[in-house]
Amino acid sequence: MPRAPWPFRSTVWRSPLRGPWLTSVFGAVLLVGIPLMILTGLLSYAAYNPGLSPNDLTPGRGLFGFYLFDWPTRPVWLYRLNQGLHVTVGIALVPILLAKLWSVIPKLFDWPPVRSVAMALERITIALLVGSVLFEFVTGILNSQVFYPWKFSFYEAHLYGAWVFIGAFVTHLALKLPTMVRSLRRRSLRAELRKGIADTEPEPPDEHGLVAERPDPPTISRRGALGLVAASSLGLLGLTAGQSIGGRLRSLALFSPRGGSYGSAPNDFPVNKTAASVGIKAEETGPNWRLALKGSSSERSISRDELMAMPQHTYDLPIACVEGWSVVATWTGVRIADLARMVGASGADAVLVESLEKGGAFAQASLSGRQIRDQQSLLALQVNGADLSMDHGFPARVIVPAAPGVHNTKWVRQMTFMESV
Amino acid sequence: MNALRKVYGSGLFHFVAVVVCFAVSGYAILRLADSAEPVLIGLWFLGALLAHDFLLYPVYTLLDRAVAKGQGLGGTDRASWINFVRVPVLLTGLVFLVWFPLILGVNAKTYRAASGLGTGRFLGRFIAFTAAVFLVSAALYCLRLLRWQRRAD
Repeated sequence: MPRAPWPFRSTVWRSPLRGPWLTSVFGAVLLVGIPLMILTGLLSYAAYNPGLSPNDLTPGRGLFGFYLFDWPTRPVWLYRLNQGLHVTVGIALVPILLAKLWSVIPKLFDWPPVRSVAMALERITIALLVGSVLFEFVTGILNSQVFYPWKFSFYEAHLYGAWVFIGAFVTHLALKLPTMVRSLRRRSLRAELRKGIADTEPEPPDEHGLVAERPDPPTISRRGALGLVAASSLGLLGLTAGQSIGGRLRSLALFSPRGGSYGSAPNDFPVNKTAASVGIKAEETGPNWRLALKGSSSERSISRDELMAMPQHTYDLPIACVEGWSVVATWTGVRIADLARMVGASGADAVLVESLEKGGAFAQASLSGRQIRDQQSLLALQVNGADLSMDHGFPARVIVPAAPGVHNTKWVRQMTFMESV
Repeated sequence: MNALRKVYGSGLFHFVAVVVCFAVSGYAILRLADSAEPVLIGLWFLGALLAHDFLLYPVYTLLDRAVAKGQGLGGTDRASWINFVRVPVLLTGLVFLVWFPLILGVNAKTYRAASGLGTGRFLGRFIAFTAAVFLVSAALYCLRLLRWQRRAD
């Protein structure tokens, strides 16, 4: 057989650490982390109640909506937990993913590149797997920092990209799980963690081509490499978790978009869009502001003073963003169910809440019948004992337990209750 | 069965598994093709793959090899400092990789619209974080040298 061209020569790869055992250790960690990402990601889509118009940002989803269900309002921290896990675990998996890809990179330069139909097809599934996982991490991480260097819809890209990944991941798992289990059994992790650099030997030659034919002497022990990957992952976890968990940990989230410390005034907590950015003018929110309530048979127009004169309710509820950050605040306002009753719409199946915002994907959102009837679903007028600030949605905003942050519409202008949708 | 193995190169299970991938992923790609910007999304998909395999991976590998060569010592040598460079570079590099938009402020406009805040503080934090990580690493290396010397005496 002719000699393979560089970099397809097996002698290119020099690391004495690469081998099926090391790859399988990273694989085993991903086998816990990735399903968690898939589960929280799919739930995150369901949380938008895409069955209600205009909530669905991926109307072309087709069969991928098969599992959607009426999103619950309890426990109140459900969306907060889901989204915190999705973003925090995702960031913590970055080093594991990169280490896993590092460990198998010789396979990319297999020679000859294709030896059978089966191999050709499997290599296509691997390209889909690696392409989609990188695509998902890049789009997710950049979206969490509101950085959009692209002109496509994040929601479409991230949802369909996820399904490309799910398909390829299931196949990869089916084909490689036996190899992973076999490889893990060949070496004891505990024994490996006791070996320093002097005892770090390459893994025995393997049929996968991961073990270097001519390895360099080790410059780090296998224990050191595993420790480094673990420490990086835990480090990123520690730098991220605070923006979801809050409290003292928030100040540890040094690089998180909504981490760091905020002041202690009632309205000092993160926002996800400012009044100025969506064109809210002061005169629209002044004494002339009216809330338009519409039912199927009656309509009302209510001033903020009239809303203040209605029975007020106060609840501690989290506000949690798709980007992963969340914070608990004490919200005071009128029950959305009470507003429904005012226009004879107690039995409404949905309410379309429209904002004063000029344009933007979330200038309006619909809430479900279950969300309307939850006692803790409020049209909030105050937060933490003070009137809402402009950036938090003055004169009135929605706050619904366990709903995605963007469905808690700010600067509410009109609420249209609908009987059946 | 043997005929399949001969023509296909693997068993029925392999074939079914690959078909499952092409069915699910293929359908997702069809859904993507219906979206507003399918070509652009495809380019980003391909770009992410190429950027890792042919940019990020070779760059960090070549850097690592250069450092290892520059040191010229075996890994078991007690004066080896390579990991006292590797570890802080990796930790700070990962932080940069994940949060570069905020650190560099390339998203400053959308970030201000979203949060009401500027991005300036992130660069300062990153510099301080980098300095701290490298300082700790250097201090640990000095300690190790001292211990080694004391043992040699």
